[in-house]
Amino acid sequence: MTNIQRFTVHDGPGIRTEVFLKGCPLNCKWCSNPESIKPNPEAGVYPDRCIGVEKCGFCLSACPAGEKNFLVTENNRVMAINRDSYTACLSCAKACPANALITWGKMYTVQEIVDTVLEDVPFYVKSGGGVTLSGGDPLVQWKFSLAILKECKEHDIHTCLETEQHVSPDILNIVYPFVDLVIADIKHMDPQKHREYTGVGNELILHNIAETAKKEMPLVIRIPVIPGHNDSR
Amino acid sequence: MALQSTMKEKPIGITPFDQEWPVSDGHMGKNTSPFPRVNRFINRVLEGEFTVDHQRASLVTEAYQKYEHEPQVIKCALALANVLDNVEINITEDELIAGEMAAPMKAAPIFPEHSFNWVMDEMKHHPWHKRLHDRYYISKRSAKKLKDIESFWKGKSIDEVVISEMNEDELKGTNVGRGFYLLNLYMYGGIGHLQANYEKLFTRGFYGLKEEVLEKLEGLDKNEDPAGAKEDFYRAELITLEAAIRYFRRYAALAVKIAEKEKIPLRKQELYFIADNCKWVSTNPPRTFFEALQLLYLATTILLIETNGHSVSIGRFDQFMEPFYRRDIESGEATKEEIQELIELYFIKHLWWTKLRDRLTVIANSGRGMGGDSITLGGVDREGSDATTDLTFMCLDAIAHTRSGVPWVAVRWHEQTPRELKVKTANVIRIGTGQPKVFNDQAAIPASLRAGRTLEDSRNYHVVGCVEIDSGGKEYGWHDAAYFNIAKILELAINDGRCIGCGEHCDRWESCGEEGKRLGPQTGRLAEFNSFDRVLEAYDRQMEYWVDLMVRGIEIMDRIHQRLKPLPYLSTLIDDCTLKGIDVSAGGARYNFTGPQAVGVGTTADGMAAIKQLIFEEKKVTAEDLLNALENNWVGDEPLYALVNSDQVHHYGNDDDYADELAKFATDTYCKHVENRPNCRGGKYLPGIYSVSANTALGLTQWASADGRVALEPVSDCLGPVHTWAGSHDTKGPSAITKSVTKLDHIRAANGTLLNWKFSPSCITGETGRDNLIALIDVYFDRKGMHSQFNIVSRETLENAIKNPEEYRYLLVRVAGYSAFFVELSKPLQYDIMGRTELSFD
Ligand code: SF4
Ligand code: SF4
Repeated sequence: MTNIQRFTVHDGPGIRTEVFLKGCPLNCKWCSNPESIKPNPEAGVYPDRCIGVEKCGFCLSACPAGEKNFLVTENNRVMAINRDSYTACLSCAKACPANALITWGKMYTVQEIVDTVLEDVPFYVKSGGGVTLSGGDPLVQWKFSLAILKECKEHDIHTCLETEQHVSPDILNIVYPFVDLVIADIKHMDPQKHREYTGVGNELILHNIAETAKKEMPLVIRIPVIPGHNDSR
Repeated sequence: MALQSTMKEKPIGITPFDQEWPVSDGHMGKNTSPFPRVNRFINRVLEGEFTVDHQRASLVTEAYQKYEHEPQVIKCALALANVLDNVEINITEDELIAGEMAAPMKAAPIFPEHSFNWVMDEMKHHPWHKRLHDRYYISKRSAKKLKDIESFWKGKSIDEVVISEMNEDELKGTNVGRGFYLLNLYMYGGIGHLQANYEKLFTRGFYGLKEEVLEKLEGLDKNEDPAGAKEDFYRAELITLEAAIRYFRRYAALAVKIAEKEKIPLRKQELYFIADNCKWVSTNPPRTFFEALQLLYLATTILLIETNGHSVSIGRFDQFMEPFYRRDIESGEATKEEIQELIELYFIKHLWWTKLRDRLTVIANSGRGMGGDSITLGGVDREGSDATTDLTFMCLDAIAHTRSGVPWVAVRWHEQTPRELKVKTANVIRIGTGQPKVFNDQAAIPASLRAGRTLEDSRNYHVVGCVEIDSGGKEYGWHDAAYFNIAKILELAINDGRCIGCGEHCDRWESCGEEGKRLGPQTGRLAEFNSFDRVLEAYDRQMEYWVDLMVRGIEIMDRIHQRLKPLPYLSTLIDDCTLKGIDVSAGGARYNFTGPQAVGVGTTADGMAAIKQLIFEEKKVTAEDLLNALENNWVGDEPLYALVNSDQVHHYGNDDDYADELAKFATDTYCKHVENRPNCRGGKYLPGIYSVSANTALGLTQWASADGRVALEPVSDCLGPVHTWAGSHDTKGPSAITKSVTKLDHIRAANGTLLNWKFSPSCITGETGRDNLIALIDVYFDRKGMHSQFNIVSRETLENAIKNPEEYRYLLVRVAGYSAFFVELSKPLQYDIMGRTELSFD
C-alpha cells in the first residue's frame, strides 16, 4: 500500500478519496510513481528537504550498516539510496526529522483504509463522489482490494476501480459486483509497441476491456499521451 | 419581507443563473461590464491618484474653536454641520448618484478629533507619496492648512487622551507596548462597524426623523433630565439632520448649475434628474429605486464624514431595496437593465471613499479603500423563509461586471438556499476577485441568538465589515475592538510570564528596564512542569490575566469615545437612541457589544502539540532544549526546526483529533475569559476568532514559537492551519481542513469566525469544479462552520505580480475579510497570502 489521498477530483465523479495500492504488473518507462511498482515498503529520498548531514546526519547514525551505509551524499546532502545493497530496514527514514527520507508504502489494514474513507462521507453525499482504488494496479492485490470494495459498498459508498486490466478475467468477475465505475488505461493499441514500452503485450487487456463493456459496467477509457511513445499517428 | 408569496417566478438576475465567467480572470478586470458607461466610470476612477484633503479637518477645527464652550454633543453636531455646509462639492462626468465624503473623489479627509500626531509626523517625516504602497499625494495648500491646526489639537485627540489615561500595566501588552494585542483601530480612529436603519430612513425620510426628535424634545420632562443632557442630545440630533438636508440641497443646486451649462441634451437631462432626486430625498421618503439609491449613498457618506469609522456597512440591500425595484418594474418606471446599470454605478461610487491609515497600520491592513463597506445578500427573512430576490442575483452580476473590490459582498446560505443562487455564488467566486464571501445561517443565527438578540433580529442579521454578525439599524457592536495574539499567551505560559527572545531589538527594551522583566504572572517555566496539563493551566492563567488587561484598556477607550466624540447624526439612524435620549456612543443602541478577536489559533495548537508530543510523550526533546532553540531562533537546532515543521508532529488542519482538540482548548479558553463580561454601554463582550490581516502585525512582534515559526514571521491566519516558511502544516487537503476547523465552536465565537481558502484555478474549472466547490461549502456549513472566503489564484500568478507589478495592476486578491489590489499590498502581506496552502486536489 502506498498512500491514501482525500479530496481528489480527477479520477471519477465528485469529491473522492483515492487509495493508491502498491504493485503493478506493467513496468512503463514513463511511470510517475516508480515507488509503487514493488509491493513492499521502501525508503524514498527527497534531497531538497535535507537540512545537511553536518547539521543533522541522524540518518547516517541510524543506519545499521554503520560506516558502509547505503546513503549517497553529495554537497553535504543526502541525495539517494544505493538500492543494490540496501535492505529496506527503514531506520534512516524513521530517524529523519525533515522528511527528506520517508517510508513509501505504509502497511495498512483493510479496516484502517475503510476508516479513512468513511471520514469524508458527507463530501461524497454532497458531490456525488466516493472512493477510487488506484495504483499501481489495485488488482495485483485483488483480495485486499475486494475486501475494501465490499466494506465500502456496505456503507453505500460509490466505488471506482482504476485498473490496467492486465489480470485474469475471473478476478474481474469476482470484483465487479462491488464496483460502480471502471477506469481503464490503454497505453497503446499495437501489441508489439505495448510490449516494448510496458513490458507486456496488450491482448489480455483489450480482451478484458471488451468483456467489461459487454457486462454494461460503466467504463471510462483513458489513453495517456506520452510524447515519443504513442503520440504519433 | 416574505416576498416569494407575491412573486410567482423564481428570482433571477439579468444574466442566466449559470452564466460562467473565465475562472481566475479577476486580474483582467477591464471593460467587463455590459454597460459602456460603467466601464468608462471604473477606468476613470481607477486611473486617478489618491490624495489627502484638509477641508474636513479645517472646518471641524474652526467649529471646535468657535463653539468651544458648547456641550460636547452640540459642538460635535455643529462641527459636522460646518463641514456639510462649507466643504467644496463636485459632480463628475458619467455620475448618476451624487455625493462625496467631504473631499473629492479618492481624496482622504482627515479626522483630527481621533488622532492627529501621526498625521503630522508622517506628513513631515515620512511623506505619503514616498510610501512603497498605500501611497497618497497632498497639495502644498492642504499641507499648510493641516499644519495650521496642529497646535490646536495637541493633547485633545482621542489617541492622546487614551494613552495618557492608561497605566503602565494597561499599556504593556498593547500596540503601544509589546504589541501582542492590538487596540490601535479604536485608539486612532472611529468605531464604525454598524449599519444605519435604512428601512426607517426610507419610510420616514429626513423630515420624519426630525419630527420624531422634535416630539421627544417637546415631551421632555425636565425632572427626568435635570442636567439637560437629553435636551442637548436632541438639539444636537436636530442640528445634524438639518445640516444633512441642506447638504442634499447643495448637491441639487450644483446639479442644476452644471445642467444649465451642459451642451449634450442627454447629460443635461441626467443632471436635472440628479437635482430632482437630491431635492426630493433631502426631506421625503424615496419613491423610486433611483431616489432610494441616492438617499442610501449620501446618507451613508454623511455617516462616514461624522464617524471616521470603517466598516460602515450597507446591510441587506437585496431586501430593503426590493420594494422600490418591484414597484419600478411593475409601473414601468425603469427596466431591469436600467436598474442593473444603476446598481453597478452605485457599487463603483464606493471607490470614492478612501481612508488614510498610518504607516504601521498599512503593513498589516493594507489597502486604501474605506474598508468594510459590506453588503449582505440572500439568507432567510425575519420569518425564516428564503429571502432571495432578483436583486440578490443582480448584485452578484454587478460584482462580476465591476470587479473593483467594493462593496464587500457577503452571501448568506441556509438549508433552503435555491440551487440557482449557489451556482451563481460559485461562479462569481471562481472569477477570482475574492468576492463574494459566504456565510452560514445555520451557524450565524444560533450564534446571534446566543449573543442575546431576538429570533427576528437574528434571522435578519447582516455582515458588518469583514466577518462580524450584526443586527443592522439597532446595534453598536464595537466589533473590531482588538486583535489578541493567543500564540503569545502560550509563549508566556511556557516561560514563566516572560517574553522569549527578549533583547534590544524590542521597542520596550527601555521601559522593561533593559533586563526583560516579567510581563505576565509567574506561572512557571516549561522545564519545571511535570506534565502537559501544567502547560494548559499556565496558559489558562496567563489568558485570564491578559484578557483582564485588554478589557480594562478597551473600557477606557470606550469611555473616552463617549466623552469626546458623541455621534448625534448616527444616533438618529440607530434604534433606540432617539427613543431613549442617549447617544449611540453612550449605549443608546438596542444592542451594545464589544468584540475582540483571538488570532493565531493554528500557531498555538501546533505549538501545544509539539510540546505535548515531543517533550511529555515521546521525550525526544527536553523542555530546556526547546526553550533554548526558541531563544536562539532555531539557529543550531535545524533538526528540531525541521521536525516540528514535519508531519511527524501532530498538526491542526489534518482532521487529527490530537492537534484539533488543542486548537479547541486554545480558543475555548479565550472565549471563556472574554464572553459575557459587561461593557460600559450596558452590553457585553463577544469573542471572535479571526485575524483579518492582523496575524502579520502580531507576528512582527513575536519571537520564534514552538510550532516551527521563526522570529517575526506572521502567526497563522484566521482559522487556517499553520504555514511557516518551512512549509505548510496541513497535508491532507480540503476535507481534512473542513473537519478540523469545524471541531471548534463557531457558535460560541459570536463576534464571528473566518476560514480563508486558496484554490489553484485548475482544480475548480468546469461544471464539475463548480459543483465540487459548492459541495465543499455545503459540508463546511452542515458542520456549522460560519464563514468562508476564497482566493482563486495560482502561486505563479502571484509571483509574477510581485515581479511585474505594472502588468498586474488590476489583480484583486482576498486578504481576509476583504479584497484588495495585490500589487498595492505591503510585502509581508503579499508573502503571507502567497504562503497560504494552495489546494489543488490532484
Ligand atoms: S536525517 Fe534527513 S535531514 Fe538529516 S541528514 Fe539525513 S536525510 Fe538529511
Ligand atoms: S521583556 Fe524584553 S521582549 Fe518582552 S517586552 Fe520587555 S524588553 Fe521586550
